[in-house]
Amino acid sequence: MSKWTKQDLENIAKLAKLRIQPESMHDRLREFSDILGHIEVLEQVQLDQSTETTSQTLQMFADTPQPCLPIEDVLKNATHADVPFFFIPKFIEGGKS
Amino acid sequence: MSLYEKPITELSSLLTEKQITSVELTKIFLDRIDQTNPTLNSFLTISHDIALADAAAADQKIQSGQPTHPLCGIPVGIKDIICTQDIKTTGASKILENFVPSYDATVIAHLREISAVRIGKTNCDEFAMGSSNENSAFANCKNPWDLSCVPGGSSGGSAAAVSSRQTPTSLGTDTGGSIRQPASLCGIVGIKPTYGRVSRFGSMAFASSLDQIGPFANTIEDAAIVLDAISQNCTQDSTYQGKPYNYVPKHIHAEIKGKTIGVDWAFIEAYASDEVLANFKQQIAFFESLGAVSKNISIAHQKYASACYYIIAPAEASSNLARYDGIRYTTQKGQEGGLDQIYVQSRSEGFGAEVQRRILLGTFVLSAGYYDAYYNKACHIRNRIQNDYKQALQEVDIIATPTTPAPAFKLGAKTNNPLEMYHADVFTVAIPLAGNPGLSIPTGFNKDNLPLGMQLVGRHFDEETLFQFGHKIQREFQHHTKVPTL
Repeated sequence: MSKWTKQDLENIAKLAKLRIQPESMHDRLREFSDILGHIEVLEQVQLDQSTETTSQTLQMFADTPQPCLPIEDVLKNATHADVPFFFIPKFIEGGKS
Repeated sequence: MSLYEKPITELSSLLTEKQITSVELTKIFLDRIDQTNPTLNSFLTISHDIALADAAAADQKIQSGQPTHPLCGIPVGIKDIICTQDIKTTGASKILENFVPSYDATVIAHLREISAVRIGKTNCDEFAMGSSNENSAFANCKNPWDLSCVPGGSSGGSAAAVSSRQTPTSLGTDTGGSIRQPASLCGIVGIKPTYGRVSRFGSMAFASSLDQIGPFANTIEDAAIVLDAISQNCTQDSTYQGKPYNYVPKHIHAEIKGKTIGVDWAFIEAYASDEVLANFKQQIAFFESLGAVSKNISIAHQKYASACYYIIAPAEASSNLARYDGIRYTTQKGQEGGLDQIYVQSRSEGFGAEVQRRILLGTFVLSAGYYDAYYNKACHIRNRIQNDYKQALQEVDIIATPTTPAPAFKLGAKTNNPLEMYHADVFTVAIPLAGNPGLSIPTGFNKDNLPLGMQLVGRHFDEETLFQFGHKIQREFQHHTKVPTL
């Protein structure tokens, strides 16, 4: 995929919960086509994926409870909160509030 | 020489010998910041009261006669992506413009334990995404050596603050070069530690398999002192490997005779400008004059590192930044609509252009139909890059490159061309993919008096050898004694 269409970009933006302004669509499409051209250099590399794996060692910690942050402090940064809750608009799945 | 020009090693002696107090020292640096920050924009928040309270606590500890860390009483600038309890931490993003963390990152907790002074929060590219600091939502930071140039990024404010002597040291984060590149462009020392050396708990996550916190300083010894302080224990980051770095001056000052340096000349010559290449060759010749041996090597998959990085990092970013949704702790927009409108409007108005670009790219490479072709393949090639570095560093002690292909560029020169901006990291992006430590050391100035730098890459958890090599350049050329005029 070396060229993005307006529809491609709008579909990805919807997944990412972002809105692309119509006036910037042309520039975004050009930028993404450039970046895609840059990363498609990886097509030159032939892989035997059955034998090539990635790995990372993580440290395991004992699963013991630790003191929690005070809920009042945590909720100070919410736009709408009433301890111990933060508020979201009322909504029904698939519908509007 | 003004006090603010002295390295930590000297300031620490003055404090412990009680020739000056930390409160006096902190006031000197706060004055320096107040005078120069309107020009540089290197700090987003100057924490006057907290700094003076920290300094008073440090003085009490010194007065009590108990053993102290060399950072006790020393001001530290903190990249505004690292959480600091009760000090605003914005990630240089509008979406967090009023965020005040209720906890400290592990590195900050360590600084407080040893009574270092939290002098303020430094400017950076939004959520650490950028190479020029021009993606900050609040102000363009300037390069102290030329105010028309960028300081580099993403930790540009941290680098500019140390270079201009607003603070003796600062913390940055490095995901693709965000410590090493601004260190080079501002003419100071910066090190990305080995992945797993320093806890990232409390650092706003950009790309979790790459992010590392590390220090900026004017000398090698100072950087080592800070690394000692921040690499101590953490039980909240599972990638922390429990291997703290211990600062021992005589180890850093050890000679390099007989050590080997790997240089991928073909790769370097393909990307470095003429002046950068000439300067780099001089440093290699200097190492050889001390008895080190250079070898021509080839890192076979290095040419794919930038492409891998710009798949893996945005993929991880798109996931990590999903938490900024306008509900729990971010600036909320679109209250008049439903939940979805809050999400979309808060994120679309709260994130800047580069952050949105990377979220979109990351969402794309993780999406059904493209995951294997892009993300999965990049992960496999990353594995090859890791193996390339491992094998190369079995044959040589360190690998050297210029840190950047060219010195600092003009503000605005690359803002309309993201791909050109990405190329500024061509020598640095492979190192986080491989997980190795990377040090940038100043190596002089070009004809326009802009700093140049050299990157040294070592084996996992062998920052010491990098410090040894860096120290030899510092000892011989004394670039760290030059201070930009403001």
